[in-house]
Amino acid sequence: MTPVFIYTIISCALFWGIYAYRDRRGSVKGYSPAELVPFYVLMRLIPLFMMQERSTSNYIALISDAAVLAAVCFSASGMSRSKSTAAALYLFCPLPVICMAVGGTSMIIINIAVCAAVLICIGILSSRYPLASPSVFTGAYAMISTGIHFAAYSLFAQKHKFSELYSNSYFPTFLVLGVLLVAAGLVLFFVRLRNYGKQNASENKAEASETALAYTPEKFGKKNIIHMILITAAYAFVVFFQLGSHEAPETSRKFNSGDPDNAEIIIDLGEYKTVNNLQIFLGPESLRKISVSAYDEVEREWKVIKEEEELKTAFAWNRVDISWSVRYIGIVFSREDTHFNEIIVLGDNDQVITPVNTAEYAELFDEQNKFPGSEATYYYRMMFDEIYHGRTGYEFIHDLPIYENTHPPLGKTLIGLGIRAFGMNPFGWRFTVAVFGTLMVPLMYLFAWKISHRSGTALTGGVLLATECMHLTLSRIATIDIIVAHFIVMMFFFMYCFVEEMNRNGKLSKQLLWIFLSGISMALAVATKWTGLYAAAGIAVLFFTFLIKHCAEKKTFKESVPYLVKLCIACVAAFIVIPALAYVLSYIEFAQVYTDKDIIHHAIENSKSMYSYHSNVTDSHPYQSEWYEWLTDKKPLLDAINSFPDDKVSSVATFMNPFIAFAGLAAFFHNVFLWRTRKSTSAQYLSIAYLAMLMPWLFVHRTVFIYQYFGCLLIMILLICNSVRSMSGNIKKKECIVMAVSAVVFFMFLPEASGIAVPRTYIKHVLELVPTWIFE
Amino acid sequence: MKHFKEKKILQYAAVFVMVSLIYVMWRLMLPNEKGIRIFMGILIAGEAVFDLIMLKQKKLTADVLVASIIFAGFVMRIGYMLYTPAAVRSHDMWEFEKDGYGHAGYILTIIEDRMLPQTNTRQYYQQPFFYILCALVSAPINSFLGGTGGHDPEMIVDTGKIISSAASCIVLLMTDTFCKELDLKGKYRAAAVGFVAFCPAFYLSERITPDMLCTLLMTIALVYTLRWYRSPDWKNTIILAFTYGLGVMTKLSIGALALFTAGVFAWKFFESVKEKKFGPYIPKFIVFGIISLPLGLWYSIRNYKRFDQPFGYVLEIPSDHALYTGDHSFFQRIILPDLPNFVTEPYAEVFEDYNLWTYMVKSSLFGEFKFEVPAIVPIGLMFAAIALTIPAVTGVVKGAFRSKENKDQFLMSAAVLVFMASIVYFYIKYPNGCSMDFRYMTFIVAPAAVLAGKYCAENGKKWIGTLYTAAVPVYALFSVLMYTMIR
Repeated sequence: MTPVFIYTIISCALFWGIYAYRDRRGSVKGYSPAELVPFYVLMRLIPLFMMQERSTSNYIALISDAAVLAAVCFSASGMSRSKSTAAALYLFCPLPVICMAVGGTSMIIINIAVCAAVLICIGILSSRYPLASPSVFTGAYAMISTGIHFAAYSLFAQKHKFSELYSNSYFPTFLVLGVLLVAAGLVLFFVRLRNYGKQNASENKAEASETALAYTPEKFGKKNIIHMILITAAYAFVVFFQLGSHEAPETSRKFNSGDPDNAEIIIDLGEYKTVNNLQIFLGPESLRKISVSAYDEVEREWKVIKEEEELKTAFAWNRVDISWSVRYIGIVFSREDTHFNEIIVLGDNDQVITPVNTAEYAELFDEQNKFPGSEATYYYRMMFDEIYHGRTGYEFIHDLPIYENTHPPLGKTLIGLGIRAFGMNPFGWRFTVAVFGTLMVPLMYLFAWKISHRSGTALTGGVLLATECMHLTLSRIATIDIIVAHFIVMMFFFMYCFVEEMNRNGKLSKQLLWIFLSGISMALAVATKWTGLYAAAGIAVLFFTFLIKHCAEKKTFKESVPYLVKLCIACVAAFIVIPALAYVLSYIEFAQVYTDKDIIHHAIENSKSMYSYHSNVTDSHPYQSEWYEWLTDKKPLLDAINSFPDDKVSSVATFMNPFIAFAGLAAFFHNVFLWRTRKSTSAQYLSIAYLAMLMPWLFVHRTVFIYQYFGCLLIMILLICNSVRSMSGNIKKKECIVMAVSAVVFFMFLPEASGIAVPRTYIKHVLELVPTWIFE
Repeated sequence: MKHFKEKKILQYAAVFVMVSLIYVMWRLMLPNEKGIRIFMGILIAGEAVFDLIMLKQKKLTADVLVASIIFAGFVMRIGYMLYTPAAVRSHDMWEFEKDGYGHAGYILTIIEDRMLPQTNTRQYYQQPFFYILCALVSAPINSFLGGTGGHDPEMIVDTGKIISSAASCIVLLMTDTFCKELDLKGKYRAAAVGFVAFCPAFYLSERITPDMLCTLLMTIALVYTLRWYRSPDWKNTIILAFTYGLGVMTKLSIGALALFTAGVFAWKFFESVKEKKFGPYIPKFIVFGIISLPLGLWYSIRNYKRFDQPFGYVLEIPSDHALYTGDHSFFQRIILPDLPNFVTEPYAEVFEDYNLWTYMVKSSLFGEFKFEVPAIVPIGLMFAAIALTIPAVTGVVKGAFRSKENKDQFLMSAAVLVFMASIVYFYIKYPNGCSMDFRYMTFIVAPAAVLAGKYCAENGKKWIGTLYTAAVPVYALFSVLMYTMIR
């Protein structure tokens, strides 16, 4: 229920803010069906389907609400404002949304009763004062609506009761706030009522049609190329700096509980020595269980030190504590297919002890110099989901059974390229993502230039991305998120190029080229991760929005037909055929490893299994967060953490640069405002793109994390650029401030985004901005 | 700019006498706590009805409204003082005996031994002025009362509340003086006075601590600093010197405001240097130092000599104490208000809370205490206070940018900001829950309320003025309900 309330209040606040602004200027002329239909979808269907469970009463409430909506339109038809305005005001009233979400007969009756009372009041007033505008009541209406929203949130989401208002031990804060707001709204209503009909007609002020540019559009030139090279090089330096070790134990030996010759290891230390712990670098399989024993020469028997000890992480050093004086150490395997790449025996003070029988297990003791010490940071090992994606990249190269199949394969195939070039070590498995992350900087620069045709804005876009903490973290961890994000940005960029070309009636061939490039990007995105599909839906919305607008403004339907036919054919090829082909082809490794099925069947079967998996991931996780928590950067995801004896901590966390997170959110509201009041094309494009990337997560009820907001974050950077360039005054100065603040915050948080070890006190006292930010 | 009416001093003296008389009568009548709360409610309701009748008859002028608000403020202050014994909602009282080493013991030591404490243990390190005044008031009143608890140490200490209560009432009167100094009239003047009249921090501070007396002396210091800036004559200089001398003798925290006054002195002096008319200032500064320094510092020097007590000494709380908040980041503690905290509960949690701004708002309403009253009352009071914070903060910040247009407004803003900077510094230096308590910051309410009114009166944005004038009656309503319902 909470997400519905949050979504409703944000949507209503946005609408009411813009409405109040336009109403003050007397420029609310009504809403077209093309606006009212999306309003209905936004305020009725989306909240309804956001809920995890729906019952018949929710649908009945929806239907009865439609009847009230019709009555509102009917009764408003005789008033000075058009009925479409009344419909919009009704749609953005939180009460019906809550009634629909809560369901139940009483809620439906309340909705109808309240709306009927309001309508009767308005009817009486409009018949008594036919020339007066009811907009004087908008303040009271908004206040009462907000009050009802807060009270309902308290009653239905927080499960408070009215009786708790008189309790000494419960604090229904939102309920009290709601009651106060309703009371204040009623007072305001009666104050307005006393003066109703006496006010003068508001003065109409003209609304700017399109944001007037405060600068002359520039041409892309040498300066821009230098900018791009410099930012990219600087960013590449940061990304590749201590990206990961070039060395990790690679020779391995496979053990198997079912094979008597390979079911155990006996390590002979030559004499009795105190062994503190074993460090075992596991091969491709994680979650392997072993039992560790010590041989007692007096009693002539093996004594179990650790039974069924689980080695959790593949391609990482796993510690097994022993603290035993021993000569012979036995390791018995409990599962099939356990790959050990290296074993380090550590004595007192973490001194490496070399067994005397290393020749018997040459692969396990041949790379002892690659042991980084007992505190192996992210630099030497896999972190977070690298254990899935990095490992599967390795499996693709060696045609091994495929471990990770919950995402399409292309991203892991690309990660495999780095492993192929640099070996199965941290640098190797992170190389590809680092390259993709780096290349996104010039791409963002180009995109920002495209929306503004201004070097300063483009530079701001590039610098903001280069100083984004989540972008840096995802560029340094071998997961597929940065790869799919790269393709998504390409997709939006090419679609923007198309829209721009179409709006200025450019050559059809050029328009089709952008369509195809967007389609190819979409194909690559979808073949990497299904989030590409969300972006594809956004692309479709953008495409049709701007196409309809273009055709309506520039051509008659008859003139448009040949153009539309050509475009339609190109779109089918670009957005259906090419992505389908790419998606199937991405399964080539599956077809090579599992020869029982052809590639098409692999693609279909695995997609079904992916859908089933993602629908059922509901296990709680300490770092999981809801979509509305992403907006405020509430809960970072800790990918790796190591503490050192000198009270330093190396941790890698996925979180947004707080400046960009909050400035981006403000920029989104500003862009919606620019779109609705100034008819800015770029603002409209970017706002829809942001919503397209965010909206799908409203319906997702699986366990999700903050990095799933990364696509939105990239659009937010463009929103900030567009906002700043649309402001009045000295744009250059504002851009410099934005870049400087972002850079300062970025460098402040760099240790957390990159894993650089810093004193614990710095983390605790400076970086942990809110209690939910835990980095140490 | 209108000048301060000199007869005000008689009004303040009358307030002190009135509070003392009411207290004595209360003691003689063998008090009934419930009765006084009902009586407070009746008085305030009657006054509200009177105002409504005046409004209906179109006779409700700003002067009448302000007078009735001040009356209601007095009722709340004196009423709270009467129904709250010294031992209830107190701080560091310790035992009610001569060697109790708390605030109670300090007063009893002065009365019984007729001398200052011979140790600096626990609270005995505190500056003595407040305790001396308490003893001077308590001793004659309790010898007069004789049999009616006059020999009970608890009642002897209890009488000291007269000083805090009178100080609280005088600060309310002085708020109207601030309004006149800034030429604030009409509804915003009433709103500013209403804000101070019903601010619960002024009732809660009517306890046996030097905080409210210190607040009064700070308020006087601010008024006279403004007047000194306009007219740096001997009278203003000497009053200011005595105020600071007695202020430091009450509590060292007035030193934060002394920085502001020093800044004003320096500003005025450099202006006069430019005009080559700095001659008359030097003797005034010398006389200021001659009066204020010995008055303010003699006790600190005495304690330094006798007990090796450092200047500016405060009782330190170790970092493993439950009150310690230093394990939260600087950002969490100081930079932004902790908004989610407002949602959880209205009362401050001295052992849990760590955010200065949130705690400030909460402790200005309820101190460190929790009350058994219906939830709607404290929550409503909290929201009204949050609403008032918006114009108050805006008024203070905007006032700081008006150094050319309105010097008085600028200086008042600067005083609040300098004082708040000292509070932040203090909290950084002593990161403990109790360091955030509003009882140390009550001084800011009156200037902030007046600055908010001034901003609303002069600003084109109507909503903030509406918010201010609408929030004050709600604040007043919940404040009265809260402090007539508590047990």
